[in-house]
Amino acid sequence: MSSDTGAWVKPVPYVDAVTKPFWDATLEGRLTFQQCPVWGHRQFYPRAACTACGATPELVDAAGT
Amino acid sequence: MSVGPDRTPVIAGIALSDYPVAPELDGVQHHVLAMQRVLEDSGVAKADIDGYVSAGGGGMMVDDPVTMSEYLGVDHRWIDGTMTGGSSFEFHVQHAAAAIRDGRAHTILVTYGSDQLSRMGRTLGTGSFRTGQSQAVPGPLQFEAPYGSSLVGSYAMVAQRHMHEFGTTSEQLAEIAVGVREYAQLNPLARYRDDLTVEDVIGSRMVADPLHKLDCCVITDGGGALLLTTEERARNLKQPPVYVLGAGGAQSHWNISQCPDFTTSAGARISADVYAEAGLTPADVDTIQFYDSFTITVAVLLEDMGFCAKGEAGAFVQEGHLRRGGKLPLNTDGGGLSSNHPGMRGIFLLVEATRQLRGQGDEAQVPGAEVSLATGSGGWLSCIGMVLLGKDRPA
Repeated sequence: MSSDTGAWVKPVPYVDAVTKPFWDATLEGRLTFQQCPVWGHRQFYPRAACTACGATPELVDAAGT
Repeated sequence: MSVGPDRTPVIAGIALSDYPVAPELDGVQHHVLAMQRVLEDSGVAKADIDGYVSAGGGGMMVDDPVTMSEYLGVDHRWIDGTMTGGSSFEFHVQHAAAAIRDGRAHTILVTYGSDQLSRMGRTLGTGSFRTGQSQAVPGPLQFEAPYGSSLVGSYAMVAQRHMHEFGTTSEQLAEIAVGVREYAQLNPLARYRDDLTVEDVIGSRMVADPLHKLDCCVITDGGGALLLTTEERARNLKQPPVYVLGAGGAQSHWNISQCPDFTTSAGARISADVYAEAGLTPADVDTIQFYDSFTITVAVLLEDMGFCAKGEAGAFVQEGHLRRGGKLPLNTDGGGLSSNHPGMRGIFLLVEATRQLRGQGDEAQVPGAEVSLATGSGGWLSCIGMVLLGKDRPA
């Protein structure tokens, strides 16, 4: 994977502190989603709160299967 | 729900600004023109307005509720700026009716205006986001926009899923556009008034499979206004009052990537409660004013508002019920599909429902119309707001 986005002709994301780990992972060829450390709730897109319980979620790699 | 004659909420005024093309007006001027016309329509003195609502849409510091209150000179004691996209105005009536019942305000003005067509041109909604770091997409849309997701594409996924699950056909969806066009032919101001057939719709350019160009609403300029007050005050005004019999709204998602079920909107979990509030059933509704951003929007709303079972909207529309002379005429002003859609169409649903219940529909009048349902869809079938309006006082 190239980290050069110069040739990308489609819209680009405005990367903020919360979404940066997700987009950084894409440049390494990893697809990630979030999982709540409290109850294990999984969600996408990445955000600062678990939509089930409100806790701060963690980013985990998708199995790709 | 009746609360006695003193504070039963009614719609006492309706107005439209100029449409479909008004290059001489900016968005705020549409708000102003609609206000001037709603004062004329209702006979309300501007100084009596004590509540104000604007969804905005033209931007903060432009036509948000506080800027517009100052601009219009409305010294309110109750204000709302709920913004749920195109369904905002159904939420506004829900909130305004409650405020009037509670005595928090007695005369509430709602205004809307947009110069979308003249300002932005016709590609809005069908084009992609602009590219380059300076146009980087913030918020949750950053997870859709890079993949080419567009507004029409989102509704196209709803249509694809409805077809896949229930066998709905392009011909059935086209029937919705054809019926609405018949009403547009009775509206001299409608954007498109040519004869239209199912074959014309299916033969029009594919925008986002399976939605053809003529499955999509028009893009226009326009604006509108509502005046809500008490039944008691309406007695001294110019128009027959139209009663707010029931109202509700709910959200299932905002961005389409988060939609939990493409074929069922949030309207499905509120409609029974709203009918119950009004003491009515779907069979009591004489005409529907539904958000027809796309033909599929109407199909999903028909099911979720209880007019047919889930998955049966295609067959239902094919029976011709929504046409002029049918049992449930749809969008008697020509709708968004043929008449006007300046970006947030929900206010026109309420204006047209009220016009019908006043018996002022001219050639498009639904004979004997006593109950009308206005249902708006905001976002991407995301926020559904519904208002049941009646010619007669609630029981």
